[in-house]
Amino acid sequence: MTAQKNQTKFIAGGVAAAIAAIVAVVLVVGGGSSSSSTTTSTITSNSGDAVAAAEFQPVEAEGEMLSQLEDPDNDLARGKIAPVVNGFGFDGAPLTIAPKGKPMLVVFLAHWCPHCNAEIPRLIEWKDSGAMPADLGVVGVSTGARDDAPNWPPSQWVVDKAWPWPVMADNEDQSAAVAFGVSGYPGLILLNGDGKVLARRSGEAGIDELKAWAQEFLPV
Amino acid sequence: MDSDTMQLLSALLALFAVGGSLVLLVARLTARRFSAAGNFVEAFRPVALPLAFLVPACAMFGSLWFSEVANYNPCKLCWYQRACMYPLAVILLVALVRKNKVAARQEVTVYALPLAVLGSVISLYHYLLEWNPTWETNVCAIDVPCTTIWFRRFGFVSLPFMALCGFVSVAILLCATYTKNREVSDTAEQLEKV
Repeated sequence: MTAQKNQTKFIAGGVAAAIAAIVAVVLVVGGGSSSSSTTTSTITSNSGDAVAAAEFQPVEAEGEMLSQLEDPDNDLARGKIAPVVNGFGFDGAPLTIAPKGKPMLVVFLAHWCPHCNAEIPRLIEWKDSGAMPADLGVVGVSTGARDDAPNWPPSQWVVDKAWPWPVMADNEDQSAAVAFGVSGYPGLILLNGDGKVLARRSGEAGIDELKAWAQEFLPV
Repeated sequence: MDSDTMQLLSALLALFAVGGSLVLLVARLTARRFSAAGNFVEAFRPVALPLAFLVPACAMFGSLWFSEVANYNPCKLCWYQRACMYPLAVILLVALVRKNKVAARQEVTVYALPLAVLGSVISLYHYLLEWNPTWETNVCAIDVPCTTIWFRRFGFVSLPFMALCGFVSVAILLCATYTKNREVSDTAEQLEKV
């Protein structure tokens, strides 16, 4: 019985010592870094100079905000004029989402969202395959950014993902996403040349689904 | 303490808890074949309840730290896991402070085990969902989707994984050292003699 009691004391002491050792080692060596990081990135501006990227930029929306997307098949915003959104790229270059006389696809992306990460290569493949309508303009909007979430900073994330189109950096209040009534990421909004909403959708989709979606709503 | 340090500390403690529990489980399963394993289980029995309390208590503290200090907003599945983990800490504490340790030890297993098992199932699903985000939906919610991975230590230890470690540890600690009525009275007598 005494031997068992000693064994119990030994176990209790061992567990306490192991926990103390873990705590001590972690406190001494620090946490290191996990899969997420809080680094900032440097990007090249249009003038060719290296500038510190700003992950959030001021955004101003003009016109009537679109209602939040609930049912893509019965979208109340379809046919309405989308707001004009004035903002900036990560490098501070002005960028405007406004009617340009040709259809436009606005893609709202969050760097930490696994569905956005899955969707980007499909959009790029759609473009590279030549199946994307030639006159369709595409613009990305980095929204919902968080410095404690994976793939931060988004300015580097879009580079790593080889995003080939312009990107607007939404502000911390996600004003651009709110203006377009985005209800989830990735959020896709298809506009005609006059800035009217042709269709909106949320969530990742395969290339065939994207093609069918665009063909259904884009004027031939 | 910064978030990185807390992530590493909680990940190591979770791995230690589940690793130690698995050693206990193996000892319990081989107790009849190896007397040393049986002796280990017997010697472990008095510390099982304090450790079973310590695990959810640390998990509760950790989850509150991550949500309130590090601002990792809990998702729907995180809340379900909290609903299992927090009561575990409370009922195991009550069992720990009761005078009749043996009876409390036996009774609390009946109450704690369903919570630990249910929590394990939810944690496992949440962990697998992190690796397979298309299982539940194809869209990230604007607020806090359950597919958000706040961190992955060592490439695999995330928040639901740590919760899973906690639930499994509690279940093993309670089950592997559980004694039936006759054994309880024997153990009680032995403890009184000690």
